[in-house]
Amino acid sequence: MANSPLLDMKGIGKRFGNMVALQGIDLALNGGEVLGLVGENGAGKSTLMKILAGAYSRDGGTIAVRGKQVELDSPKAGADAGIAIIYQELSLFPDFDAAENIFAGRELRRSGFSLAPLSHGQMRREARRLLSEELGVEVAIDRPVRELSLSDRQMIEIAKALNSNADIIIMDEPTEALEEVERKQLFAIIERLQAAGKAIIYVSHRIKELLGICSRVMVLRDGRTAADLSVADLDVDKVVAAMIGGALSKQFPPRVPPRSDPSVEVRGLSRAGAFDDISFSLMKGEIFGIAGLEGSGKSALLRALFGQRAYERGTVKVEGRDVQLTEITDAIRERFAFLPAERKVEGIFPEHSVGWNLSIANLGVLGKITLRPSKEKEVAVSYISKLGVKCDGPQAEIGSLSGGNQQKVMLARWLLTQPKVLLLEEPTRGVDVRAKSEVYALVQAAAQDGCTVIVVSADNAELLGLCHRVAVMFEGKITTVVDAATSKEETLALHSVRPPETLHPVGGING
Amino acid sequence: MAEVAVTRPRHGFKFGLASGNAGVYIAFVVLLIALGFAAPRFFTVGNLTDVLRQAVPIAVIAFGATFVIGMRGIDLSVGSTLALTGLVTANLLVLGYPVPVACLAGLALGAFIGVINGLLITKVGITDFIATMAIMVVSRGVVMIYTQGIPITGASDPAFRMIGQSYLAGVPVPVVLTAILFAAAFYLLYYTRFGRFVLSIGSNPDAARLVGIPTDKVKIAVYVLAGVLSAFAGIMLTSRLESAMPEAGQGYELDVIAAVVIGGTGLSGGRATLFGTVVGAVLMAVVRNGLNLLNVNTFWHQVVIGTIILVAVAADRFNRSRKS
Repeated sequence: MANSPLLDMKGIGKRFGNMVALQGIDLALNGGEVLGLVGENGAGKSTLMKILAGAYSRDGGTIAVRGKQVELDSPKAGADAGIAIIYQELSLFPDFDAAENIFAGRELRRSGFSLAPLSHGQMRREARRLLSEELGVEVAIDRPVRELSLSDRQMIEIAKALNSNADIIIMDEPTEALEEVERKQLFAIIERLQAAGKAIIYVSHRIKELLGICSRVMVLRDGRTAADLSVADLDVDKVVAAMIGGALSKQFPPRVPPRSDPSVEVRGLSRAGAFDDISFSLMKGEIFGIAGLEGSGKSALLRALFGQRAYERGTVKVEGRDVQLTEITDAIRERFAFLPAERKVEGIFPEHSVGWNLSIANLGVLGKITLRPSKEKEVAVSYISKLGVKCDGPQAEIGSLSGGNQQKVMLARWLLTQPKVLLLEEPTRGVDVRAKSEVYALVQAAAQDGCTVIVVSADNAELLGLCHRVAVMFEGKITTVVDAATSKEETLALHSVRPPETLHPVGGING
Repeated sequence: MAEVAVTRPRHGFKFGLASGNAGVYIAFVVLLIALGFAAPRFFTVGNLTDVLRQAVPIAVIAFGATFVIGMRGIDLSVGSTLALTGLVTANLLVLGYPVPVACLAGLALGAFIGVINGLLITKVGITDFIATMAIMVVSRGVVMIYTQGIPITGASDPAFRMIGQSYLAGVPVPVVLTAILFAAAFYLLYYTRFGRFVLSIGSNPDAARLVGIPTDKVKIAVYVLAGVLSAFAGIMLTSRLESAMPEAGQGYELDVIAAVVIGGTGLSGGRATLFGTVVGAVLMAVVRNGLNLLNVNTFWHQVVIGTIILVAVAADRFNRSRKS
């Protein structure tokens, strides 16, 4: 078996009960190859990757690594076969430091004796070598990883995979929560790994990004292979068409101009260490974007407007009236609504139904004192159809919905309160292509009804496509505000990473 | 998976009927039938009345605990609260205060202990387990200091005795009161904003805050509810015994948690079944009663109850993991 590929999966099938999750999937991968794996939520990407990592058992097909058949019936078998998976929700021990995490489960001991003390020094040295020499990144070795940035934690995961001698590294949505700079860093590391002969499977919704770094792209649709082509033969539209089985209507709805009556006016808003002297005024029906790196203060500002951690100085006016937003209940009283980025952590009530999740922010609609089941059903049914939520009725458990449909329920929750101001934090994170454009359409429909929308996002294309104006924050200040229709992603990216002074000699047009 | 049509049972669109522990309901019925054969005396009116009477204090406190546990909290102070409030009520009666005053004082004290628990947890930031354990120990200590370990007897005002000893159409009044409390708690948990707030906090505290639920206030209110219901149980017990025992309610906190958990309410919060709680409380009383009728040594009761808790929770786990 001289020329057998590094990984060869043939005829992989998987069923969950009556549902066919995967059928007849063939996947071959050589060392030094980066394979992009795309598909809508539910297309079978994660199932396939979990089978490869040994987390799920398969119902049919064979898997060979370096020409040798492997069983992969447990995560340990996957690791032994040289397969490492880096999940979207990273799986590090938050209280352990980088070295301890990298060596978790394979700690070095001072001698072969199984109760011998651990050799912390050696593990630290090796961890430092992996991170700085092999990956070329600077990551604090001796701090608990909970104190590190998401990007640093991801580097630790990659180092951990290298340390386990993995040849096949699966990355599940690795850039979803990363900022522009961190993303670039990750891509550089992927190139290094590729040069070192590792094979990488890169699962992502971000098709454009994927086309930039992958050598081949495989598209799954409804559990089957819809396309498996070299990137040279692909563009974004072709991939999307393969994903959804047809052409997609335009992703962003056409812009509708805002009205002329003022809605929110923010003057000199500050909180030490978070944001400084923020001012802007918005009209009814305006969609206002805020770009910037993680830690630039964009989310802190958004959450301060929702009263979660109040601002220290400055004023907020709503329709010309001074308002105090010191508590969440203050903001809700002013009919502010807030959609958090971490849907699972801060949004959904996982034990409960769609109807429950939908009505919780405005239980008044279910009855003044006694909540009426018939009302809940009526309200939920109407919003399910209005927003096109795909689910098994108002009583379906929220967890049974795909990310995009959960997000629509979150949006419906707040639309039910008839908000004047809609604050969105990463509104399409973890949402697939088709649902994304549906969310955009819903946001714009709300704006058209006179709602003012403020969007914080790490996706600059999203901000430019959806918003009227986009502000860029850098180290707590708004450094520029651009007109979305006439600006480029590069402009936002550039302002996000550089203080304004250094920009003047380059362009001199921002003010 | 996005578009999978899952067939699920469609109970009519009502609140509060889902999420019980079906295995326990079946086991309960089987147990009743088995006891009917093994101990013919079990199915006599007198014995069944006894069973219900024994179940009452645990059931009443467990209604409150269902809210607490549904909110992902825990309250260990309920047994001591029962003793302290029963003591105050008995003492006021002995001193000649009118029955309503004595009872209201007991309930108010229960509410006060709930406020203390709630404030310790929300404002001081002490974990619920530790805060309520400390209050449990302190309250018991106060009871012992006050009584010097000797029961307070003579709470035999005829009107007061009615609460714990009389019958309404053949049904003991404590059972009737418990049924009324159940209905009220059911309404409160499933059909009011407050109940939704409680279960939302239990399901996802961060999300609860972000939809504008005043989480601290709700938490304090839930501990107050638990305290008041413990006081209610204390008054009923005092009335039945016509005295307040210093060691009353000792170990109740665990029986109460057992009743709630056997019923199908998980300690992880978010979901709660009051109907299950009633079944859990009655089931424990039935088991104790049955073992007595079969002349099983009381030391064995602990072993049996403990085993039931394990089996009930394991069955519930099994059911849930099979569903998902």
